[in-house]
Amino acid sequence: MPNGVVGSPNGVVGSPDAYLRIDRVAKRFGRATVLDALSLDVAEGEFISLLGPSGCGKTTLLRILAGLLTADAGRVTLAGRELGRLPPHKRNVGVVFQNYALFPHLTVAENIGFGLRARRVPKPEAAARVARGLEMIRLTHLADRPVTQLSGGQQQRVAMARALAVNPALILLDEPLSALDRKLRETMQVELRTLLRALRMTAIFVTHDQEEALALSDRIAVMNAGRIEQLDAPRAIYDRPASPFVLDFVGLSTTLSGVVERVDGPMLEVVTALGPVRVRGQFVRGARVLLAVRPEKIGVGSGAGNVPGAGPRAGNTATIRVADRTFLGRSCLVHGVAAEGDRVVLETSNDMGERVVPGSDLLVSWRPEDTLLFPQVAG
Amino acid sequence: MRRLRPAGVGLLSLPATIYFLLLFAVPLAVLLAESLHDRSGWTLAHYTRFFTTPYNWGVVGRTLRVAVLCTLFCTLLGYPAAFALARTRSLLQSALIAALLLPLSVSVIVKAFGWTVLLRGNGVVNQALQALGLTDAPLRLLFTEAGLLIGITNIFLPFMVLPLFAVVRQLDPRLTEAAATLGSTPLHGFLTVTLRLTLPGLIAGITLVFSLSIAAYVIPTLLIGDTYQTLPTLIATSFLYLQDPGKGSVAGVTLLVLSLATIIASAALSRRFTGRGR
Amino acid sequence: MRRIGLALAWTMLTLSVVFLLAPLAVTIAVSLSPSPVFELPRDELSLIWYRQIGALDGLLPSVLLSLEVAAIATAVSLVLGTLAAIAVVRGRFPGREAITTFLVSPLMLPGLVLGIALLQYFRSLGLREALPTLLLAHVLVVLPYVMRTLTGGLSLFDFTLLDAARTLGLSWPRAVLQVMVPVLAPSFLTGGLFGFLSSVDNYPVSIFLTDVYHKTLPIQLLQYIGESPDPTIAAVSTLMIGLTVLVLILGERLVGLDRMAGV
Repeated sequence: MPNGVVGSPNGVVGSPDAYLRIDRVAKRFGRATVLDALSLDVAEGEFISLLGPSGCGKTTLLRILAGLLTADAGRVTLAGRELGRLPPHKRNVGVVFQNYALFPHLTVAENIGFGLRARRVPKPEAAARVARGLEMIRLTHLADRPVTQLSGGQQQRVAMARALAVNPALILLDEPLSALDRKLRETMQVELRTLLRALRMTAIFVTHDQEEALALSDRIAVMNAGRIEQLDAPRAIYDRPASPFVLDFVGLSTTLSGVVERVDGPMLEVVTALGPVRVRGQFVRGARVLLAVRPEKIGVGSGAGNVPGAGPRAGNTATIRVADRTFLGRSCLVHGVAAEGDRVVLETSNDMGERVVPGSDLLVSWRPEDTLLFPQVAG
Repeated sequence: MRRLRPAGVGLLSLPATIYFLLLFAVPLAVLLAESLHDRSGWTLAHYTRFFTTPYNWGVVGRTLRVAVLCTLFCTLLGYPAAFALARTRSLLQSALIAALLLPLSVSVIVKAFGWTVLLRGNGVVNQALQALGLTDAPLRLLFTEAGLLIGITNIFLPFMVLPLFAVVRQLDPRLTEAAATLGSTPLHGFLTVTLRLTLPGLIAGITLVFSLSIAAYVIPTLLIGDTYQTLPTLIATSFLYLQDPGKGSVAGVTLLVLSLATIIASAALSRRFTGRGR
Repeated sequence: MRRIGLALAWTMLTLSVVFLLAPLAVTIAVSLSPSPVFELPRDELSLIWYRQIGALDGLLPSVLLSLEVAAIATAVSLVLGTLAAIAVVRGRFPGREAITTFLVSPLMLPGLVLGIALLQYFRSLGLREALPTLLLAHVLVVLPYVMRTLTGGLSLFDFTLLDAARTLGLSWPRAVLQVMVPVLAPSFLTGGLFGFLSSVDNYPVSIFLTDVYHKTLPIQLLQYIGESPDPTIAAVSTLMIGLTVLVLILGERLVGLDRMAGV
């Protein structure tokens, strides 16, 4: 494991009073290890995202929590109760499926009431709870419509209401917004977050969309190859990625590989394709490292790298050759020509972006504090 | 597209429609007329004669009994089989579909002949039963109702499995998972979701098997003979041996009415159960 | 419970397959046994019953008659059925559904009833010749298959493909020939194939229209079984099974099993 990883949760036992505890859960399919002794503690009312590329094991973990799959090893406890091999219908864990899995032969109200009927909740009470659910998702006027006549966003809300109607101890959401178009997805994100927070519902949210995870979560577990690479608050995940994988998966950045040239107390000087770069860190001279800077931390001109109170030599400056610009709306991304394996990207104002001509040289700067440092992975 | 425009294109159905009017609708009308007609003119005599004979009621009863039992056996075998078929992987699935298609395509007479060999006193079925110690002496199977039911179920089983398979494999397995996460026991989930969503296929299969088995002729002829007459064998003997077109026509109309009733009932049922869905 | 369900499903599928193949397997086995009393071969296989086929009275004429009737009926049905299918799929006139139902309804109605209806009808018209009445009747047997598969195929056919072909420089007839015909070929084939097989196999309609000199294959076969059951019938049956297998293999190559199964 790269030494830059902070607080790896794999195999680490967390606080004793966790609401949901996933303890060294493992799953193999044939020879492929899908979950590798994964552990995770979730507090009551917390909203946790499992973020990762397809095949990282996030959906497998979700299905194990729901009881739709059996883990090969490990324990899961929810509200002090060991889930073990409990079948899904005895777990009281709600699931919102990726394409909603609404029952096509039932109306909106019947879908929402399905779990109540399955639990033999008395009719008057069930009706009241369905009515409340309909109100919650503002679809009371469509109660008797077949679900197949609803729009994607409405179906999504019915799926939420159906899962919540039975008052689950935990709700699992499997990429619930991925079938919606971008604008609707953003609206639904807010709605979903507000709803779950109002109900103080503990939620595990599976997604491969980093923006969605950053926007919604209390904490994000970035998953890769059956393990959690980093478990942290969204801001920390973005600002202090624990590994090159997290850096690459969450957000854009300039990445430069280089060799440590000089060690100066807490500061290192690294030789890169863009020249010497100063960064805070602990490596020996001659070590191969990977440097990264988020695009909004790089400014045009030499001033952006200045640290108040430090000397003029404190900042990092470099001259890049502009390759291309991408207009984003609120701002503009400038891409630089880079050496092989490197990538240079910075975010500027639209006005600045207009003035930057592809093919020209551009002086840029950034602060050493904003430079992220990772050991170079061999190969 | 220009030349396949709605206005004129409908005329292309005329040749087939006229053909069917002349050689399908009119002959059936003639049959109906014949059943209501004798030398002296229009009459209900054939019907009174047919339906006041207790034997004929027995024939109708046997026809329905065999069809109901056959449909039941096909459902019990075919419904679970369709699920297994839908859950297999492609290569095995193709082999199994081939194993359903081959018997379906082979001549009924060949299959019926195979069953006469299998069901004989010293035939394979009896040898197997004795080898397993289930019976001591050979069972009489050929020319019994049991033998007839085995044969007729065999002929029509693929007509149950294939339409069910078409529906079951469209079934989203996540729907049963969703039911489970909402607290459904496997049984409740099966009844409220799986069974309900496969009902159109089940109705289609039952309709097919039932209407085919009330009309079966070759199988009863070969496997049970004249001692156990059903409507089709009665129709055939009336025309071919007894030269009694009056009786045969009434029996024919009765069979036709049973058939139509089955189809209409099935259409009403499937409208009711697919009215909502997708 | 889920496991029990799955085990049950597999048991039933296995049972079904064994059950369905049993009469075919036993027929083949008996045809290869030297014993004259329908026994499974024990020590040696024999082709003696295959040599006896030639001695069967009237087999060849019945085969030829069946093939002739089936071929002509299928050809007529393909023409009439294709036209009607195009009409109901592309047309916008009232009663399209009714016409479709009408043209496939012989599939759902008892063949025997159709047989006696035609018998009386042809008699009342004074038409007693076996061959023309058989041909007229078998179109009713074959056309529903053609109609069913072609309406299915055509309603899935994307007619903008024809426009696309024409913008790429094909004349209208060539566009139909080069685009629509190949795309619909599987439907033609399945409909034609199953229609042909059901004509060759038809008993309940033919029985009322044949005479002593014109017996179709099923009628001839049933007569052999009734009169002199010996393993020669098993040999003939085995050949028919073999032919069916060949047709299915051909169909699988050209169309695929799924489309033949109609699923």
